[in-house]
Amino acid sequence: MCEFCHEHGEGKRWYLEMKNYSRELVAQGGRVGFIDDTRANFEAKYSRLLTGLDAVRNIPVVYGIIRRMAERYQKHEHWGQVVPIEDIMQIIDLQDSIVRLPCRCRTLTAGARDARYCFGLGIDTMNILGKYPDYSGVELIDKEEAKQLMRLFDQEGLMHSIWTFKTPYIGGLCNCDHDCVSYRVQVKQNLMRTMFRAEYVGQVDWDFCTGCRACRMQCHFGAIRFSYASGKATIDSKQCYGCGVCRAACPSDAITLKSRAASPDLPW
Amino acid sequence: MKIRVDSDACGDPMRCRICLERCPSGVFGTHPRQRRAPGTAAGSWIVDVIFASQCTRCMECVEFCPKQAIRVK
Repeated sequence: MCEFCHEHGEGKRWYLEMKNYSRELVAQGGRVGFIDDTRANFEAKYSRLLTGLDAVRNIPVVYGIIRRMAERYQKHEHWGQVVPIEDIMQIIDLQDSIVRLPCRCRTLTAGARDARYCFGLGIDTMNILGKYPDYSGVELIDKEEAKQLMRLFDQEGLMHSIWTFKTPYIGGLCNCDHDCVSYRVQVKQNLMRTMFRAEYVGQVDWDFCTGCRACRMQCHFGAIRFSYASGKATIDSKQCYGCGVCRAACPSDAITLKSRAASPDLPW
Repeated sequence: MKIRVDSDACGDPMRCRICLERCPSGVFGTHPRQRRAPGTAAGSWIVDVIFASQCTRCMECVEFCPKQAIRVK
């Protein structure tokens, strides 16, 4: 299990624990102010932090120190985990209220102000978030609609992630593509880590795989390789993030998610 | 190597977004010129160089900026 499962989940999936979404938790530790400030200044905050870290990228020792500090900071303040669609459905079931919002990563990286891929979780989210005159609005949606949207995003190949606001409070859920800041910074550039891989890892069953390679196109992480020698696809378990969206592309139901914890050498 | 975005020449990045979309290495980002108080509007936005280390000097940004606001030295 990931580190947060041990620390905040008593050894079980931490994001399925009610207490990590609770009103009591959000009321403590300056979370409301932090969420409000993040809502107001996400792009400014993260562009400053990342510009600073990128500037020392090629300076030995200094980069290592600053990277570790930044990761430690992020783990406390705003850390993510990839979550496959089945667990997302369970997370939605735990919520009292859900709002749909524009994704701020897309604003930072692509200048997109209304890429409505994000969901704010938790009680009284409308009050915490406030009203921002320059965003098209925070939209309250019901659980069934949230689930339908998530299924749609899963079919489209968007990867699902959850985000803390002062760990372990989970305040957000997003649907990521390659404009996601976390994707660019952790997966593409290896500048710093910002999230855990999912509690799962994918596996292709060669009895069903027809070698169509649709899964390979869907994979965000370059984790699927195809061999002309075998005519089959294989998921590289060290590269795989366990997001599970490859399954949506497979016409033969050849891919399943296995527990990551079952293989002790796999990275988180 | 320095990448410079002239924000005055750029104007309104949120309408254009060409450098943000085109850069193959994702060097650029955008953020409001100033931090804002919760609940208020952002004011003007600027394009900024965030991941300078990723630049490959392809010069697409220089070529495609309609305001010639980007310089790569």
